[in-house]
Amino acid sequence: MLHAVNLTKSYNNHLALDQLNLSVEPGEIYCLLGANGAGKSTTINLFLNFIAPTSGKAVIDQVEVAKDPQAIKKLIAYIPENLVLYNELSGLENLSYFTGLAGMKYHSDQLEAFLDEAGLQGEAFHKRVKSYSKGMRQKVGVAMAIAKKAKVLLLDEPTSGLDPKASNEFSELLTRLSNQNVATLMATHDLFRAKETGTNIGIMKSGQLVEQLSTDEINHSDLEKLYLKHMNA
Amino acid sequence: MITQNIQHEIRLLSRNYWFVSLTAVLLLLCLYAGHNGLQHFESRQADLNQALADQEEKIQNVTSVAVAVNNGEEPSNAYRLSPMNIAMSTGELATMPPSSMSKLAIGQSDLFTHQVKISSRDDQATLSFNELNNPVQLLFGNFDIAFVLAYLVPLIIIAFTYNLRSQELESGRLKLLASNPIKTNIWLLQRFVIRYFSILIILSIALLLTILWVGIPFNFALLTFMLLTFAYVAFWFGLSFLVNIIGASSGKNAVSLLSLWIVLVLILPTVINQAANTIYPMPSRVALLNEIRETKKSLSEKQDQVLDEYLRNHPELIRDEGKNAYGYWQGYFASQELMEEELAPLIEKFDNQLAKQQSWVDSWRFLSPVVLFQDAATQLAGTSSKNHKDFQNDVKDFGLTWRAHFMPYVFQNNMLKLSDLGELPAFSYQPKPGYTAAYINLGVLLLLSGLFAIRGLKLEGKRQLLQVG
Amino acid sequence: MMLQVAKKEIKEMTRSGQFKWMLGTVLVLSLIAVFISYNQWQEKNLQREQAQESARALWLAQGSVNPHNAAHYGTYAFKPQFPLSLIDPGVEKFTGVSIFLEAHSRNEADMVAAADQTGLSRFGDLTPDFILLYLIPLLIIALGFQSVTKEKVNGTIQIIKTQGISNTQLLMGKWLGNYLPIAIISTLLFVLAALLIAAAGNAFDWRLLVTMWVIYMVYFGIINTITMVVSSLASKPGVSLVLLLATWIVSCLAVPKIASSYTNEKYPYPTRQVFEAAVAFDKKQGIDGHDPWSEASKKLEQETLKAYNVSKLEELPFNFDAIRMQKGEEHEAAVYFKHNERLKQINQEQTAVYRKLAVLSPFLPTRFMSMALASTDYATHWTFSDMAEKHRVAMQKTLNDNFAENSKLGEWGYKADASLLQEVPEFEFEAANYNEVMASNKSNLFILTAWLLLSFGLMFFASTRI
Repeated sequence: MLHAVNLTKSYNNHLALDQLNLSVEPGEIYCLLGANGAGKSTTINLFLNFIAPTSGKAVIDQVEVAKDPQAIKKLIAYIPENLVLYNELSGLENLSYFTGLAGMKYHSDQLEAFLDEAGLQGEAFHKRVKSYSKGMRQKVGVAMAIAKKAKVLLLDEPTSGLDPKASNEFSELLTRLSNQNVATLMATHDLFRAKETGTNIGIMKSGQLVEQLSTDEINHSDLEKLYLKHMNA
Repeated sequence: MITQNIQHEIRLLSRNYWFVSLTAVLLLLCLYAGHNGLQHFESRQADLNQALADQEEKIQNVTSVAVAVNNGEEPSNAYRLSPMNIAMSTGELATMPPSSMSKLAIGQSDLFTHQVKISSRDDQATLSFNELNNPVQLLFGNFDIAFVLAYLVPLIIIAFTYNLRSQELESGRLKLLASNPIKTNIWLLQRFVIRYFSILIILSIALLLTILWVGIPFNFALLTFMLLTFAYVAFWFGLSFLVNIIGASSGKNAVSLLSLWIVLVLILPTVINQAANTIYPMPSRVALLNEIRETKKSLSEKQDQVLDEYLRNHPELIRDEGKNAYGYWQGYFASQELMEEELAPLIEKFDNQLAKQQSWVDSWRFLSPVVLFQDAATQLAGTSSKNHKDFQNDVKDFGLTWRAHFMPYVFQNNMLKLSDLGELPAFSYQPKPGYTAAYINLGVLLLLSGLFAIRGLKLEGKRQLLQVG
Repeated sequence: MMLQVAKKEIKEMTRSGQFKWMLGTVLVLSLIAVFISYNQWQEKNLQREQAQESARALWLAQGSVNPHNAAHYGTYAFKPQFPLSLIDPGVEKFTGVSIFLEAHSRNEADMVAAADQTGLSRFGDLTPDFILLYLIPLLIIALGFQSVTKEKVNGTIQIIKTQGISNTQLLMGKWLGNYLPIAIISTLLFVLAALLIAAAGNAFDWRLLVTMWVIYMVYFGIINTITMVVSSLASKPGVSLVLLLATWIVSCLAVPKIASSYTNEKYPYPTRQVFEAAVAFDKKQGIDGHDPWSEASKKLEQETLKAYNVSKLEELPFNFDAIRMQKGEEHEAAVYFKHNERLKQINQEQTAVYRKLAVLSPFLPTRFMSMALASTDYATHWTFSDMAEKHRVAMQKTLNDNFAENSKLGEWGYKADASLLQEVPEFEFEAANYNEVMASNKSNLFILTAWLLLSFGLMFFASTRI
């Protein structure tokens, strides 16, 4: 579903991403681990076509992202680290606006169902977003992905700054979505969550993918040891 | 997407105090400015009526003498029917009545006078058209609708739009938006267009209320004025759109837009003006005065020659009573005309220089939207420099007609009769509305805003969505 | 510690491209303004000098002439161009520069420069005072609007606070850092102007220039302080900028215009037409020097005959025609005086309103002080007009007295010696001196000082709210 083929990005002779190859299939949750500046966000941004690759290609559903960005944007949903919505609008209105931009038309009871599915409390639907916690806003983001019927989920450190409970809820949501055959690529710092939620893990360093493994192959403490080994190398 | 955006903008605008306060501020500004315009109009009108009444009284006095003479009486003040008395003392009042549109733009009408007494005693060369006024008021200018629209509305637009894109960028929402299958620049343009029409609605309401209050008839000039205002507002929206796309942050956008405002509204007009004065400097008026006096002096020294020369040019005025038939007044008028002829090239220099300045300003006005707006607005209001220049030229032309009318009486030594009083030339000022200039300026403003929009849309793709680094 | 802060502010400023551009633009505009003004100023100086000389030459060239003919021929009073008008031309553009001095009428100053320009002249001129009054305040705002807000938004304020500097010290440091570049630029402008004036060989009272410089420094200080206050209180740079800009527009554009519209509505001048008609009406009530048949003339005749105890005008030891003319002249002068006093009364009421409204904006007292110090204000113009009238009245008396003493009744062909023309002195005009200017602008000085104190008070208040 999601393929990086020799994907490379450089800024002024600095290689942010070096010959990255990875693929994520429907139902998989691929977690990118690595220090700040390792190239995790760059990878996500390349799949979103926010930046253009220097060489190589990002492919979603057999379509090269840079060639037809509008087509792939119908397939993907994106949740950034800090999902900022329109503060003066309610969660429902925000959802309505963004799904509208995605070209979907829903009745408000349908929209409410999506928010409900994303785990947002019913009484919050019509409250202005400025009163929302970060976790609640991330849930609206998930609702957007659901409403959009996205086949690909691109997540850029979505759980950082969330309290453990909210973080846990978010992971559960992800698992539920991937069970519906969504391919998920997530950049994260959270080794524990990556092991719990992810199906695959990639460790990045200086723009390179230095380790790829399945979460079934490794336990928590070994993952941490492996990670630190790469970081200290 | 457009319906989504309209709904969205309406929601956003209705959820904070921006819209309400904006409406209130614009309405207050317009009403206050309208009040000033109305005040100015009314005092002009009152002055005009007063002057007309005074003139009417003078004419009545002369007429009553003429009636008496006509009835065969011999009133002691029969001298009032002499051509000199009517040409000089009674005179004619040339007036430039205020148009109701002048309530919107006071323009140059506080600098120049609108009622000139035409008397054959005055020299054309030194005819003054300045109104009695406190120069501090001229220095500061007036708080009229044109000022609100030209200076303040652009700033309101800037405050209303400077961060429409950068705010999304800074909050990271732009990425969220861009992960949807839309073109963000078109999305942004839609937001600008929607906001443009919202401002247009508020502004139209504020202006219409003001117009109804101060009483301006709905006519073509007013329609043009409204269209001009819309075009001017469009210019600033276009500029803000472009800056939004190029600009990296809200702070920088605000500073860039304000710098543009300062350059376009404050600095460029003064630079164009200064350049006009420097490139086409006015010859010295003080030197002209001395020139006039020297000419007068030399003409008065050769009075006899002057009269001979004059009569050669005007054989129709010659009486066959020999050389001594002419007295002081014939000589006076003869030398007046000769003096004008001699001074004409000098006076022309001033007029030419001013015309050159005007054409310089006309061709450079495209540099500054505020000059385009002010130029068109004052022309529509009949208060531009051009309108006043027209009036002044009419007055000067009429002065010649007026004098020429009396010359046969002067040279034939005839008094005016009652029937003659009905045949005096009458002055009337025909305002020349500058619709052509107004529509050119309006068109240029619209064209520029269109170009800004197209340029902004083309920048898509080249612009990175992310702040790199 | 305060200097530390100021140094950091200036360093930041010099490293930012945007600020460099702004400073550079203002500097270039200032230079252009000074040099263009200087050229035009010199040109005008020359024109006026020449005109004055040739007017005098024409007057003297009349030679042996009938005194009353000479009075009708008249001459001109020229308002000199004062050295500091290079920096602030004030209302010069809207007031005339010369007054025609002739028998029987007081003329208004003529040759208004603005009437010889296009409508664009109302946008103002690129002169040093335009830069000082409008652009530099904007520069202050542009440089300083995010001085404190940026630290708040970035969170650096928290770090600064933990370093042990007091808020007052921090604000004073930032104030200084923002003020110094401005002060340097504007001082340069003044020095340059002073050098040009001195180079042109114009002697002038240095105290005027120094005081003008101080006034502008205070004006900038007030604006700088307000900028710091708003920057400290605002939560976001955008809010701070909008607030400051609104303040600028209100102070520099709106209040002056409102003041102007308000005074015009409250205390309007009569139109020229009305004014002249009123003068003409009053003139008719008294003696007309050229009308021996009027009632007033007859009365004067009887009184004079009685006083000299003679029965016929011919028996008087002087030419009664000339006396009548002189009496007529005195009557006319009195009429003009009365009507001009009325006009002045209105003007004083207008000025009082302007002075009161100066409370609303530091721009107004600065504007008025600057013009007054440059002798380009309206008060100077009034003085000029009054002096010219005084000169005219004295001139008429000299001429009429000569006529009366040296000729007989009805001797209209009498010609005085050419030396009579020399007896009429050349018109000299001195503007108010330094002490007079300061004395007549006390309220402006007071309001400006009040603004300075108030703004600093606000800054100390703001320092408690960071």
